[in-house]
Amino acid sequence: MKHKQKAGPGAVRRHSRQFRGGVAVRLVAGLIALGLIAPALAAQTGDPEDLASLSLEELANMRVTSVSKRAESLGDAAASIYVISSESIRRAGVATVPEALRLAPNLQVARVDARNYAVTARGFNSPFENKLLVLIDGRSVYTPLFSGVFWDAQDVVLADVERIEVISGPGATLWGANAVNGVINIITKSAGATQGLLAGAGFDREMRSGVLRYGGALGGGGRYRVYAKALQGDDLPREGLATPSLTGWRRSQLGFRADWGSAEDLFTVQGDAYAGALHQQGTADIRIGGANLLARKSQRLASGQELTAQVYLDHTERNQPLAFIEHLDTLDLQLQSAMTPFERHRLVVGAGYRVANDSLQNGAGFAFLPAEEKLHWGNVFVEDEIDLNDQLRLVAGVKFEHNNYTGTEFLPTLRLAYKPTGASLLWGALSRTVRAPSRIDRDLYSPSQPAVVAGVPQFAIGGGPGFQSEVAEVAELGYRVQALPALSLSATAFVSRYQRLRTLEPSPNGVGSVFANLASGRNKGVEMWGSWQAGAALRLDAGLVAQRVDTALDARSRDASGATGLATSDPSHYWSLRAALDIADGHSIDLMYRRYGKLDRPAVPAYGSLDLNYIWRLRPSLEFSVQGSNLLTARHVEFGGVPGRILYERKLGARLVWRR
Amino acid sequence: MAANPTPALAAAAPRIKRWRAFATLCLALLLAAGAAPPCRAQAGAPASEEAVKAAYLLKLRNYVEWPPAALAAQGGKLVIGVIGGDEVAGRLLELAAARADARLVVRRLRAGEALDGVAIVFIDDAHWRKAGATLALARASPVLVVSESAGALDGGSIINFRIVDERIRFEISLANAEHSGLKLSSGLLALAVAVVRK
Repeated sequence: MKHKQKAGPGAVRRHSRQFRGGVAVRLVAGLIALGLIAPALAAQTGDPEDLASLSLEELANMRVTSVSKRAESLGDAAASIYVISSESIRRAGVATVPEALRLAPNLQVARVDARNYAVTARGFNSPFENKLLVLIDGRSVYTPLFSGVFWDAQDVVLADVERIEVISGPGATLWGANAVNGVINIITKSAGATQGLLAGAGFDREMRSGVLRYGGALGGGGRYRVYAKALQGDDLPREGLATPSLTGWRRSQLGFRADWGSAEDLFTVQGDAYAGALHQQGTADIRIGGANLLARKSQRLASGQELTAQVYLDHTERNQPLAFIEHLDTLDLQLQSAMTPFERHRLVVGAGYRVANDSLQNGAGFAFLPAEEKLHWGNVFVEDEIDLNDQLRLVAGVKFEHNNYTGTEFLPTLRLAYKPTGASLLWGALSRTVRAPSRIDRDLYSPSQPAVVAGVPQFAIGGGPGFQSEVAEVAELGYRVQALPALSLSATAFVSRYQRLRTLEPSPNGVGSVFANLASGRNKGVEMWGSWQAGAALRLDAGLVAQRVDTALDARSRDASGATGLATSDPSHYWSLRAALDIADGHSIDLMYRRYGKLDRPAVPAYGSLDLNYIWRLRPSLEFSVQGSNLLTARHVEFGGVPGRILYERKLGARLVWRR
Repeated sequence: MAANPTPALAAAAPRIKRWRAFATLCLALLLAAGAAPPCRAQAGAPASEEAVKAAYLLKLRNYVEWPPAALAAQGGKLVIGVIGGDEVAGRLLELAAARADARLVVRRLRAGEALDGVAIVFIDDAHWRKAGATLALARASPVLVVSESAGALDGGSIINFRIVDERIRFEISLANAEHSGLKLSSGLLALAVAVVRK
């Protein structure tokens, strides 16, 4: 069917209607064709109800996937931790990692534009937010350029995600510096759990995605999977401007994972490679690319001791025209041992070393100097979990982390957990953690080639030669309870005191400014969430965070810019309500309403958004879903100033996933 | 919108082309999936360890005989206590909700808590080392102790889950069962990978 473009509004209208009819007819025809092949609506595999109807012999023959046992059941964790399950991700119908993170009630997720997100926990949000550590299968995905995450370069096959653990609060002892406000740990399923073929395609008015994954068996009892995925997003409209923002993007990625062994003795190798192009205002596309390879071995010895060793290599490239071309190579080694040396003591000790070579070709506007720098981080840590009695548990841990900018940092934590019954836990924690300097704090100079007057280069920004780590001291009190068989609740109150926050001060040599640490801050708040299984077919989840973020300049500070991250832009509250409803056999609908309070600098009004995902399981192997986003209003904004901030409009999307 | 429709169409043309490509791809997938033979429910993704263990816990009541005094104490209910094992407890709670079986009660216990009226107690691997107090309580009473830790039978467990060849199997200690006054059916013993009699 050829479409001839004709001039004139009348012809245009005819053309569009004709086209839309064409697509709709094709899709409907396909669905009818399926109906004629009599789809059998069977219940989900692994459904408890399904398994309970099997005989004992059949249960004994059921193949299961080996998951490495967690040392501590999450119900006992003395931390504010929320787990996004793979089922939640599937039911929510999200297409990218940052959108999946919206499912965690303790995370602040603000979409900045088509590809950029500002994600944080406990305040201090910005696209360059730097207080959150993000890991994918143990591999850190934060960039040492600004200690944050380029969300436009991170991707996983969401259908193959086992769970996303979101810890709000300092994760320092186990996770290290930069886990100041929280840790996001994205864990993918073992290869054994992703066998067979998965093919999916989805689209809405602004994005298209496709994924293909195949899993099979390997010699030696191993399992593997390989995948390829591609996404493309459009430029999005801007508020107050006629032309769309040039932040569209496309990205493709492929990767693999192979696992051998059982829970007692696991060996994993995995890797990914990606490439993409991102639109940027006024320049050629930003080119991104990278590859990584990771190997991990964990073993449980006869004595009960658990040993884990992990090594990974990561190569990242980012070519941002008029800004920089960056090549970053990272090698990371970690060793960990968990054991019970004496009764009532569970000890975890570990050591790690990471070295990175950051190589930049700087643009004219600003430069990271030296252009090529070797960065390294080394750490040792010890954490002891002591059972004082049947109900009281004390956790004392400390990590010493050394980095090439500030030397050794001291990260202690003390936690107490009181468990009066099997179904409730009261806990408290005191921690000190730091955000070590990144290249933007120490090595950023602007312009790249300044004039030199009397031997003094006239930098407007002259790096941060004396920049120290930012420090956070956090006190938390939490309560978690399974109030009824169908109702679980969790609440955490926290007070975080930040010192040595980054400011821009007049340079001591009188020319321009340098980065320094002359500000402090505080965040006081409460995080709450609950889950209620209201009936066999309905589950309700609710979450709320209320916080108060204050920052203040030290007396000595003459920071005037507010552009260094000191001017925080966090809502005083944000909440969400989710309903997961099974309408009929093979039909389910998930609704999520989220509401964010207003932001101050720049001012963004409070907004609410209702998203839904309707899944129709046509056959045991085929899922068709329809997504609706921002259904209540025509458009909303989340971040940025006028004019120019992105408008997120009401949109519909559809996805098809085939598993074999 | 006041914009001229013609430039809008020109801007939309590549988008329309992409929609067409995707619609065609979806249709192709639909037809391919339709043409393929339907999968059997079990040939799909394997079940999770916790789901299978929860199913086992539920089935055990058909293969275990509690002494009359214990049955009286249980009051016609089957109380399954879970220490740790959040996932297993969650699955059991789902099962209990789905079945609307008032006789099935799932209780989250902590180590050392009293086991009055409890028929089965499941202790997860992370809590096995702390479960001494619970095992002492269970040893002298007709409670079926189920575990998932290596060497647990020596420690007082009656049924211990093990993963053999990617499947959940179990080993049984008849000695511990007799000590607790419980009788296990031969059907259960036949399926065990190991039975410790002494």
